[in-house]
Formats: sequence, structure tokens, C-alpha cells
Amino acid sequence: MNTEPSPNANEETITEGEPVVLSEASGSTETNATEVLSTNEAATQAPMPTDSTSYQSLPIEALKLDRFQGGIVIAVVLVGCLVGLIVPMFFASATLGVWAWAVAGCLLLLALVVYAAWFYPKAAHRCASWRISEHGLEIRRGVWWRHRIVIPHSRMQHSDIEQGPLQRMYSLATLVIHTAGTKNSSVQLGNLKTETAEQLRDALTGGRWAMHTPPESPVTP
Amino acid sequence: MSPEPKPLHPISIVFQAVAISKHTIIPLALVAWNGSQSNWLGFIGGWGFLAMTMAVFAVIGFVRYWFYRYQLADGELVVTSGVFFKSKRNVPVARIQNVDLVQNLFHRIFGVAEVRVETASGTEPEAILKVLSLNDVELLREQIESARKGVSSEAASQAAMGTGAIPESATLTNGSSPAITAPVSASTTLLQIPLKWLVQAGLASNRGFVMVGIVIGILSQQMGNDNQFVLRIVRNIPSSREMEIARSQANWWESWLVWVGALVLVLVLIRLLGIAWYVLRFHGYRLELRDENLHLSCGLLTKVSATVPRRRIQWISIHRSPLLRWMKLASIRIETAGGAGKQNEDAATTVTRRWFVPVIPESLLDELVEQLRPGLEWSESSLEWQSLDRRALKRMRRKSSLRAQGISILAGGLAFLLFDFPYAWTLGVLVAVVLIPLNIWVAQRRHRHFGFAELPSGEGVVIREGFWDRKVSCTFYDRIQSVSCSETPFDRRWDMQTLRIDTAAAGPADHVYRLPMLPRPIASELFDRLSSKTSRIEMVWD
Repeated sequence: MNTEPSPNANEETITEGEPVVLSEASGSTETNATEVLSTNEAATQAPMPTDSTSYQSLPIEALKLDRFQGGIVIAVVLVGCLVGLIVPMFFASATLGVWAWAVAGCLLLLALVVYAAWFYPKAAHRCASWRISEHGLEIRRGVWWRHRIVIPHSRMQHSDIEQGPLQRMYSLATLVIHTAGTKNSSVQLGNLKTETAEQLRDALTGGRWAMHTPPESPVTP
Repeated sequence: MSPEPKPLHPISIVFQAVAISKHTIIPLALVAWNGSQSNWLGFIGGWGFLAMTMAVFAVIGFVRYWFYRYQLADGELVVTSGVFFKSKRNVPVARIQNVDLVQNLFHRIFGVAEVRVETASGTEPEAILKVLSLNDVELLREQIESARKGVSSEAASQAAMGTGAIPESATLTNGSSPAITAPVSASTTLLQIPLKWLVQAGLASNRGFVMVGIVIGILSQQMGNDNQFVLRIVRNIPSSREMEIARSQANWWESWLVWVGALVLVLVLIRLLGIAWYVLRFHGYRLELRDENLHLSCGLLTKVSATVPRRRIQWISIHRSPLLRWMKLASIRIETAGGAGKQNEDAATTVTRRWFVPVIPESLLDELVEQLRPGLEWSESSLEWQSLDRRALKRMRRKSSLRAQGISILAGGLAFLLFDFPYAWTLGVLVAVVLIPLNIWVAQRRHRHFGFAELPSGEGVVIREGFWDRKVSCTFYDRIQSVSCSETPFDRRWDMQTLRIDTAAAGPADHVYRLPMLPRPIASELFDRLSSKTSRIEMVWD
């Protein structure tokens, strides 16, 4: 690390609303005066960006839905394994060794499927969360490959609410937000409660600044 | 422009017919030629068939021409076409971003041009007028330009309220009143590229390789069609081969000389093709700044004249290949909103985005880049570059070393298993001895040349990458669409994160903003800073 300040210094500078790393840049202070001002106000009125307590996790129905789907997969694999174990019994060539290998293989497969369909959704549910901050909509997800994305309010082009048949059973919905970007041109926020998704859509696309910014704080054009 | 709908230039019938018959004409001609070989009846039949088809194509072209009309009325460009399925397209003038002109050799002979009208959205031009006479083009451009100015000055006052949207009620009377509100357009020439630079750029580029590939592709296709041609070649080859073998037995070094000579010839040819491509495409390159729009025109045979509004530029990227660096040259690519994800780039796209400034001396570079966005201060050397830390270097080294080890094990194993090569493992070790230091060296160089910074004016970010092909790119906070931060299991082991930003129409510049291997606190701090800066600035689409 050559020019970056230490993490503690960062937190201090964030609360002050200064441009952090390039704070030595001479000419930037005058041009940023208005920005700094608004940052100060925003920092006092809005929650801290690093504060993770305001993140909302997905409803428990989302986990239920994932486990329901997972249960179907487990059942299918279980039936497949049983068939795979029973069928060789009718052939003379199925010796004890073959049998043991088949059982071991089936158990391994089952263990993998049970992890992927029962325990993984729990972890995924724990890791997935979202919030509306002063910056925009922030989404966190991923168990092994963790991902965090922020879509500023003014960059949302339009949004969809999608609902599959199983989702409808649990009254869940997926909110899809489209930006003008390339790689992340559509960002999905899956398995929200239907009413939450609708509220969120209205808040994000309709009254843009209503939900997160106090009306008296100026918005730099 | 007159309020009644206007047709295209009559010569467009011919171009339409040619465009339709482009794919079918060669097989048809072959059929006709084959038919004419047999007897006089076949001769008449074959050529008659060909003539009939051409006549049908001409009629189609005429019908299309007859039903194609365009007009500019009530602040909209209206294009109607179609015989059975009528289509009418209204393009509000306020939304028109570009009026691009493409003229190939035939267009130039007849004094006409293809006009592409582009808006900010969509992958395809909103309307393509094939073809208009140059007078009409000039008229259309002027009309659109003046109409747009009228609209934008009206809209500017309303947009300043913070809606950002173009008012739907932007009606205007054609021609007269907007001309008063429009400021006098002063154009300054930013850059003219002389032939010498183009030749240098052609020498430095590997464009020739691509050209050779294309030529081989075309040749093989043509040969596939024409059996006789291939047969003749095949018949000739054995005789020449025998001769060569006979001669090479006499003195073997002579054949070596032939091979080396051929290789040198091919290399020279590739370079010549590269030069030819550059000269053909960019001859007479001229970049002008007129009001807020960049106008560029170039081309020897196919002439392109395009407009890039400055406010549409999303991403500026400066590329320097080793040879270009050696000649103290660089090239600039840009990305603009609209026209993203296009599969086949046409001439206009190629020139306006991927090869925006094909070649420019380093001494003029900073000055030109500053013109690409009002108020941009650009000097790479004075930026406060931040680089990745020591741990990132360590990780890069280890990663590249592991990759080299993998490759050498693979090479040894393959040689052992597949070819039963006696010294397979020696080969593997040899590969490792060469590759591991090389890879580590490359990793170190990469680390040294990687850097990211913020523009001194605080309006954007810059990234620098690559040690062989060096790329420096910058984008602006009002162009960032989303910021994301990700962490792989490997990243977690090192307590690192990867930061990315997404912009519109990323692709043509061949460079993205991606900061890998950032320490976690720095990554999250940068994430917060980028997202807060981005969310503070409203994006304006016009």
C-alpha cells in the first residue's frame, strides 16, 4: 500500500464527507464545495453507508420456496438412486463389490444434492440482502462468490416484476431493474414479498427521491 | 424541406437491386455460364434466366423506391415505406443524435450518399436513407441541426428544473424561427492526420493478419464454388512439387532460402496490407469541433462523415501497442451511448467508435483528449496513480507461477501419454524453466503498470492497465451505471475484493474498469465513494 490511508482514517474521512484518497489534490476542494456540503447534510440525516444493520434480508418464504424446489430435486434423485440400486439386483453379474460401489456412489450423490438443495439455500438466504440507501438500491448476494452491487436512483431505466407459478404459491415476486449499462444491464432481486416488490418498484421509479432523501437536502444536478 | 413527403434519389433503384442480388448473383451467373456451355438453346436459356432475375430485382428495387418517402414535419422525421405492410416511423428531431454519412466508391461516382439517422437508444440506426443526393443530404442535415437547436434551447430551460426529460410538447415550425435562436456555429479543426502517420500506424498494426485471414477465407469460398479452378490447380501442383523435390535434393539450402524468402515476403505483405487498410479507411482524416459536436470525416474510397455529440461519449480509451509506443504514437477509442451490442459493425460504427482517432502523436494527445469533454483536464503523468499493494503483487506472482507450472505439467503429460515421447518429462521441466520466470516477470510488469486514479477535477475515474498493449481509459461519474464489488473464495483467502463499474455501450473500446485484488477495506471504501459520487450526479440522456 503506497498512497492509500489506513482503514481507520477512511472511516473518519467518510463521516467528514471529504473526497478521501485524493484529498491532497489541490484544485478539487473549490469545485467540490457544494458536494461536500450536501455530503455533510446527507451524512447527518441518512444512515451511514458502511452501516450494515439497515440491510433487509429476504422473507422467510423465499427460503421456504428454495427448499420446496430443493425437496423436489432431492425426491427425484432419491427415486433415481433407488431404481439404480434395485435394477442391478436382477442381474447375475451384480457382485458384492459392484453393489458396494453403487451404494457409495449413490450416497455421495445424495449428500451433494442434499447440501445443494437443503443447506445451501439457507446460506444463500443468509447472505442475500438489500437496502435502499442514499446512493440507491444496494444488493448483496452469493455464498461462495460474493457480490455486492449498487444501482443509483437516477440510473434506473425501468423495472419489471416477475412472478412464476411457484413464487405465486408463496406470494413472492422478482424485481428486475434495468439500467443502461452493458454487463449489469438488468439486475434481479429475487423472491421478495409481492407487496414489498411493488412498494420498492414504486419507490425506485416513481417518487425517485422521496424514500431516502429528506426534501430539504439539495440534489446537485 | 418541403412539407410534402420526398422520395429518395432515383439511382437508389439500382443500389437496391444490387443489394438484393449481391448474394444470389454469383451462383446464378455460374448456372447461366454452365448452361451456355452446352448448346445454343442452353445459352439463351441460361442468360435469359439471368436477365429475367435481374429484371425482377430491378422491379423490386423500383417498387421499394416508389413507396419510400421521408419528410421532416412538426419536429419529427417521418419515414414511410412498404407496399403491403406499410410502416411509418416517426423520429422526434430532439431525439436524433447523429446524422452519419457513408459514401462508397459507387455512391461517390453518382454523387449520392447513404444517411443514417441515429437516436440514443437501440442497436440499429433509427432510419437508414439509401440513398440521397448530396444536396438533399445537406438540406436534411441543416434542417435537423437547426430544428434540434431550437428544441434543445427550449428544452434546456425546462430540463433545468430537474426533470431531465425532453418535453413531449416540443413543437416547432420548420426552418425560420429556430435559426434565430441557434448560435452561430464556429468550427475548429482539432486534428488532421497526414499520410505519414497513417503509414506508421499501418506498420505498427497487426491489421494485416486479419486481412490475410479474410482473403484466405474468400479465396477458399470461391474455390469451393468453382470446381474447375480447383481441379486446374490440383493438376498443376504435383508437377511443380516433383520439380521442387528434385531440385532440393541437389542443394537443400536453396529450398531453405526459398522458405525464408517466402516468410519474409508474407510478413512484408502483411505490413503492406495493414498500411493499405489504414490509408483506405482514414485517408484525409479530419476531426472538427462544431458547437458541442465532434465531426469527423475520412476515407479514400468509402467516405464516412459522422457526428459524435460530446455529451454522448461514455468512455475514452487510449491504446498504445509496443510499436506505436516506439514511434511515439497512440490511438484513441471512444464508446458512445446507442449502437451497443452490434454484431456486424458497419463502416460508420468502426470509424466513430473503435477507431475514433486511429493515430495521434503523443505530443498532441493530451490537448485532443481535453477537447472530448468540456472542462476535462487531461495529463496522464500528473495524475495521482494508485497501484495495487505488495500482497497483490505476491498473489499475482503466485498465480502466474501456478499457471506456468500447470502448463508445463500438461505439456509433459501430453507428450508422455499421447506421443510416447521418450524425453517427455525433460520437456516438461524445460517448459517450466522457460515459462515460470517469464510469467513471473510478466506479472511483475503488469503490477507495475496497473494503476487507477481520480481525475483532478473530481468528475471521473481513470484506469491504466497492460504492459505490452497499454491502455489508459477514463469515464465520468455521470456515465457510471452501476458499481459492483465481488469476492471469490480465493479472494476471501487473501482478504481481497474486485471492484467493477458498468457503463453504457461498453465493448468497442476493449477495456473495462475492473480493479482486481484490492484489500477489502480499500475496496469497500472505494465502492462507497464511487457509488455516492455517482448517485449525486444526474445522468442526462438528451
